[in-house]
Amino acid sequence: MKIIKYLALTVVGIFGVGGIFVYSGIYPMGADVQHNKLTYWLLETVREQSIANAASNIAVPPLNDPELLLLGGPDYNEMCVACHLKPGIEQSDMSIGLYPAPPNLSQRADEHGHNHAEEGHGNSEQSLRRQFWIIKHGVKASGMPAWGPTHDDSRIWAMVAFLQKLPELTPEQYQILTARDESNASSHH
Amino acid sequence: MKKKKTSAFLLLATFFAMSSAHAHDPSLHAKKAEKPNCEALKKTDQSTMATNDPIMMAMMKRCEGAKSDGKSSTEDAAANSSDDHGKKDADQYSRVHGQ
Repeated sequence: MKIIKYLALTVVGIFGVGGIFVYSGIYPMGADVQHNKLTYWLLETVREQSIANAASNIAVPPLNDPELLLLGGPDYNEMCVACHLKPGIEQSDMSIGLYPAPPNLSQRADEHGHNHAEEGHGNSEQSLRRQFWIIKHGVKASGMPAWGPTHDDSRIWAMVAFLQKLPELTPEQYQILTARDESNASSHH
Repeated sequence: MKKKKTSAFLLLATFFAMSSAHAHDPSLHAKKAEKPNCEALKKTDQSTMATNDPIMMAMMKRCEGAKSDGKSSTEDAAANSSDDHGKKDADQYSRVHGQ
């Protein structure tokens, strides 16, 4: 009986302290103040596990068609480049100001500071699924929007295909592949 | 009066629904779009690149498409000052990668 009493008191205590912490407003929410290690680990782990779980059953289509680069390139240039950068551009106002910092997708996975080995998304099928899922659904409280409501799956897969080649591109190649002239601007619809 | 209000509400709702459906229609970007600078492709030593390389194939297709528009893409690139950013990026890339 005593054990139950202590347990109940402990639970009430935890909720009490938690409530005081939440309502006190002492946790810094500015994007220019980093999370402490525990909070960062907790948020990152929840995010990665959730995405891995949600993306695990997505069927990956063939992504080798050069036409996909011409479809995905212009979309990347219009929607992603401000945060995720491009060949020849090392940083931008967005890439500096956002927290957590968006990965520089013009660099290879092992170069842009994320532990891909642990996260299980090197250049494997799961990495493709993960990229597709993130582009389509976005990530809460990270600055990454969900593009799914305004872009169909084929356009999102084209962006995933483009991402696989992006780290290999020179600035000149990037310019050619991402230029959206009138002919390819009207070819989608 | 109530009917008018309902109609106005429905009209507004339809308008916003349509705007969201066309939020990123590629044709909206046609006017501000830049032409591919295919001069860079001409300078590339294509004999050293695999003919089945997807990047090379995509670039050739894009530049063929640009040529068939009538006006040379090189002329367009020279005429369009916004294309300068490609050169600036290339300069920065060279500095960073020492190429």
